[in-house]
Amino acid sequence: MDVYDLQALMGENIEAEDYRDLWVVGLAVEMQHVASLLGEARRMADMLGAYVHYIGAGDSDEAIAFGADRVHTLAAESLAPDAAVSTLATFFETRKPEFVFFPATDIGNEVAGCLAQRLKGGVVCNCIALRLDESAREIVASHPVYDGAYYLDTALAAKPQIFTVREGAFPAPLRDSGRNGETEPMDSPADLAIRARALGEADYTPPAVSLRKAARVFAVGRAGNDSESAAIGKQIAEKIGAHFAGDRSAFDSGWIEEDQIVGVNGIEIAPDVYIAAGIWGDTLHRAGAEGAKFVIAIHPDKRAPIFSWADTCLVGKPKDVLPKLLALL
Amino acid sequence: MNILVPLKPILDPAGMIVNRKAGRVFVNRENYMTNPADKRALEAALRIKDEAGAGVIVAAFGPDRSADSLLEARAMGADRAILIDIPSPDETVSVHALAALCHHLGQVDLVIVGDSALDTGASIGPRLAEALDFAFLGGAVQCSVEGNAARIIRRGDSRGRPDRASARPAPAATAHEADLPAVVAVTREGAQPRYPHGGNIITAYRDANAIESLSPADLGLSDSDLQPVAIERGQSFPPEREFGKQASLDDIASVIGHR
Amino acid sequence: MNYDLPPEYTALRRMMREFCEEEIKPAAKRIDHSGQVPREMLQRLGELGFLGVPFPRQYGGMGAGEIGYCILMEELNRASPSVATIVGAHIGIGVMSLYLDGSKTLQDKYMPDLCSGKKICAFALTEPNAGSDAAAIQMRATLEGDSYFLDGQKMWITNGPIADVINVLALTDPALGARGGATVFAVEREWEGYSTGKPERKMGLHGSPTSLLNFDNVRVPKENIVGQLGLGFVTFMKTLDIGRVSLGAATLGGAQAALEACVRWARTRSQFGRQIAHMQSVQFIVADMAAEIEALRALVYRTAWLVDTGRPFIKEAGMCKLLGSETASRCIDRAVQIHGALGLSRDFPLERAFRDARISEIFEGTNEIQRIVIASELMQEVGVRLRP
Repeated sequence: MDVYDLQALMGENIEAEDYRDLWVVGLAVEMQHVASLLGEARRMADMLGAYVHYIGAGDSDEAIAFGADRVHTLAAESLAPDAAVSTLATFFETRKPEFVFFPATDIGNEVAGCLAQRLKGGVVCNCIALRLDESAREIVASHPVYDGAYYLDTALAAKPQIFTVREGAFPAPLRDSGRNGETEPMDSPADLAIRARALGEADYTPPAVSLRKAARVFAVGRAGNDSESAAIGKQIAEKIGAHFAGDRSAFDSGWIEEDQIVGVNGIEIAPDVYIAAGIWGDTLHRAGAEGAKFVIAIHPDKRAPIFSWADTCLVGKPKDVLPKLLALL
Repeated sequence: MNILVPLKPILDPAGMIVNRKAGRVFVNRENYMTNPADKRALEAALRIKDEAGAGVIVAAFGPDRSADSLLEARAMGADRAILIDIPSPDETVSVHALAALCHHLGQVDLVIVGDSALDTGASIGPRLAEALDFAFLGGAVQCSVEGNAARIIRRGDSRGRPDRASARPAPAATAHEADLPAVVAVTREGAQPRYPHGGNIITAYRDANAIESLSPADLGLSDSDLQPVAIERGQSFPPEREFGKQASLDDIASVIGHR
Repeated sequence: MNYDLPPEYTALRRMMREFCEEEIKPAAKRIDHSGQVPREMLQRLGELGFLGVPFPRQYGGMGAGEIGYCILMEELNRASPSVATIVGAHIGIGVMSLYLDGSKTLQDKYMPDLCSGKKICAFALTEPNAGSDAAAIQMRATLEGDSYFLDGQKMWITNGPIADVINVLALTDPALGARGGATVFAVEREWEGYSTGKPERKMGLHGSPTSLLNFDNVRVPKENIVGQLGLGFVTFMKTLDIGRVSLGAATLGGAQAALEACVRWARTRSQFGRQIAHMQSVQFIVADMAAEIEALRALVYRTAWLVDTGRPFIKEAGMCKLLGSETASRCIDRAVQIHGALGLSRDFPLERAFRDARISEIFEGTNEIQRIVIASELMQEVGVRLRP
């Protein structure tokens, strides 16, 4: 039983202006991501004295265990973006939600945007943190800009306040299988207003990207490597969709071509992830690679300078480590 | 057929230094550029113009900073450029104004937008489709018009980001279509924008009528339409990078999988 | 006084910078090592109007004047001096001589293909015995019926091996000599009797091909006279005068690239426990470089403005080339010093820049000739005419 039922029982009219409760919309996302949203919604609901609703197709008992008071199960035909918008908009027109959380997937962002427009609310996409001001009943959302260089903190001056939240923004919630909650199916409107048609697989080859612009680079150097482990490095690169490269020593050993040398005396790179196995990481190399947003270094010598500019470090010989890494990926 | 492409000028990150420790963004060179995804959207529109024939109209908000984006688009091949006299609108106001612009222009069959703004994260596509009651196709890397429908290609690995687990092979690209009128959102993986012919740059900049200006009143926008919803409360910063953190092989494998 | 570049030029520079950064700079090392610029790259430059920056739109140019052309040369040379030299010889002296004095028929015939990159142009003045003493040329053009027959040899001709149209100076009246008896002819590469030597092996500019041109009784129809019969030397001297401005712009780009490399390296490199940026020895060098470059920039763009506004510019043009080539050589030399051994490595761009810069003090009129040009302009102002 939630507030709507209580009010109905007591003969009260729900005020048109009365936006209430926290709503988590799952659509077709893995439970782990949804669970963290439910956990956070639960925490905020307790501060506000509000209820947590979950709308989705997933396991309703799980949703309740992670903090939902009420689960509205969504029919499978309502999972496509267009249909979800129609269904949710119809539903929310009477149940005015105060805060709505979506997982920040492309579908989540699309549905959240459409819904905000339909309900004349506000939306912030791709949030990595939410801060509740319970007295002002508003949430300030941090969302990355400039590819995550920094975050903008944004609040919304309209209701409902809708947020799409990135995976990992909140800690994993406690699962309480003893929690109680209610489940009810959610009606899909007669006209789902589906306009987008899926045509199946398409013939599309992404344009070739040069090492200079690669998003992921896996590079080898001589330290603790041999030609065999360098070849394994190449396999790892292929497997993780990275460009294979190396430092000058790898070129001297014949493991890479001249146009695969990373460094100020070779190709300068700025990938999202740079993985260096057996690379010492002196100035020449560093100056060509430190534009990388995240650096993973494997080197047998713990004094290697690369460890001073790598985010994740492993002291070890690549020829021991790389075969195991390949198996783990 | 007419295609509208909204363009957003943003601060060029090349002139910016983000100091996480000081919690500040230092702007060393204040240069503006067209939002990268918007430029890809423009390229998609120009390709439709090249292949099927279409009028391409670009629009930006102003008065400041937008002239370069608009004139560059003219030099690249846009037929009309419209400056809407609303300084830095938020997502909500942008959507109101662009929807009003479509009505003002009449006969806009297709709106191609960049899927998100690099400087604010705003993504106007779904909202604009909703405001215009157009179909919406997001995540496009290619866009064409086949008969009376917009058809797009979506990369298999783009939908569902950032939950991509890269160790898995990328799923195949998929095609999607919707009848016109439609709004299509193009990602930054869309086709590389063309370079304009230098002579077209000179011509566009020297043409006093290259940009048409419209005021909120021209578009019939009321004060309430111009009321922003997103209120900026400041900036925050990712934690400073910590170097030299030791990790196990399992950690490394999982980090690779998640980045 | 207004020092703002008009917005169309700022936009043009933005586009050119982006193109050079994305398409040319990454290829610069390969161009130097392989000794050639891919023809497709030149074609691409043509498609975007780069090969006709100062020429009118009707010919496929940009109509961006000398200022636009200087921006192009600065940006190209910042990325790859080999590419800049091909383009400079093509536009700045090759097509320019046709544009300054060629008949409308001749311009209509050649300029569209030259501006679009379908054809590449060269300017042939220097001979084995006529370098700085350009008036000493010996190449002959003899009239027979409706045609002239060209005999002789040209040397050190930039674009020689790749040029499709060659503007060449030959004596039509040996008795009068170069001054009054020389004429410019537009020659096509397919014409019988025309051949080129093997590309020269030079210290720098490896991607910019230079060679001998042999004219062995090459028949040239009368219509292909560029300018007036007997006044070819004037046409060529006028062309060289204007070419010096853009050469100055090119050297500006080279010097700028060296400065940018130094500032980055000062931040990256640490010695004695700190970034070398904190060392005054390094600070003084980059400060000097920056000051000289800024002075050069002011001179180059002011001179380009003199050209575009139709004012006298010969003295300033000589200064552009003189100051520019020496500034660039000096800056790049200092940059090599700051970079230490890395500065000498073929893997790093400075070694190439060092080799590429030296020629600027020599070609298109040595710096000694520039000093004479400047001095004679100065002396003329006080009524002294210097003998050539």
